[in-house]
Amino acid sequence: MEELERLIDEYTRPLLRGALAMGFSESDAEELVQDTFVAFIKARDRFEGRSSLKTYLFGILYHKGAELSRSRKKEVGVEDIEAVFDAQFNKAGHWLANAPRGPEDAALSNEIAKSIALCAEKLSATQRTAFFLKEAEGESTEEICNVLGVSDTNLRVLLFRARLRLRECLEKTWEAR
Amino acid sequence: MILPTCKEVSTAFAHGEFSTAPPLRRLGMQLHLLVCWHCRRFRRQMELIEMALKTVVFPLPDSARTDALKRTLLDHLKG
Repeated sequence: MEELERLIDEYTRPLLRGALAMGFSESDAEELVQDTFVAFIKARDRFEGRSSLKTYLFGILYHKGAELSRSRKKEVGVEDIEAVFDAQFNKAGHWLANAPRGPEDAALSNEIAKSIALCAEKLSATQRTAFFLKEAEGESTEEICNVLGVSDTNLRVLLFRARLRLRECLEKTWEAR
Repeated sequence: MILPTCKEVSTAFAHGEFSTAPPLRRLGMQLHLLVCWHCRRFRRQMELIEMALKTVVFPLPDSARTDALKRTLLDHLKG
């Protein structure tokens, strides 16, 4: 029982933060954390220690979150962001006129941060989770791939598209001020 | 040395690969940045996005709410 208490004490906060990062409401996020612990306790024998316990729990959380999103058919519109990016260059690979637009400040002001946070809400749950694990949790590429069940190459493309999407959104938000 | 194009430079920044690029390639990109304000702006925007992702996009959950959830979990899972 002490082990359970330690588990809950140590991992509730990062798991809750992760569920919120995936874009769930506070009540859904709390339910997901509970489901994650229940699933872990039921199948704890399957944990072989090949990844860290935290990564293993994040993996369960991610899959539970994906199930919940599917059940609600919460799909994010898929726009071909690479085509949007490519269209900003001429055949020689140089920027077309007026591109890129948006902020060029060196420091992160509150206004820019708020715009980026709003844009991040529009990313898919997978992209948000990848960013959360990479930037907020500082997980390695290998651990992130384990959680998301994707290859190195897939993760690289996923993050590339997510950064382009964020920049594109930031540009549009900035222009519309 | 042929300078990389805007598309090559901005793609490298969007992949987060500037700092890990081979020295000669990085030098080419640095020279390109010296003469291209479009790419300098793109790089700054990528840096701002990374900073925001590290600091503000994923806030820590409320402590009181987290503690309440811990108590609920203990009650539920012990029972």
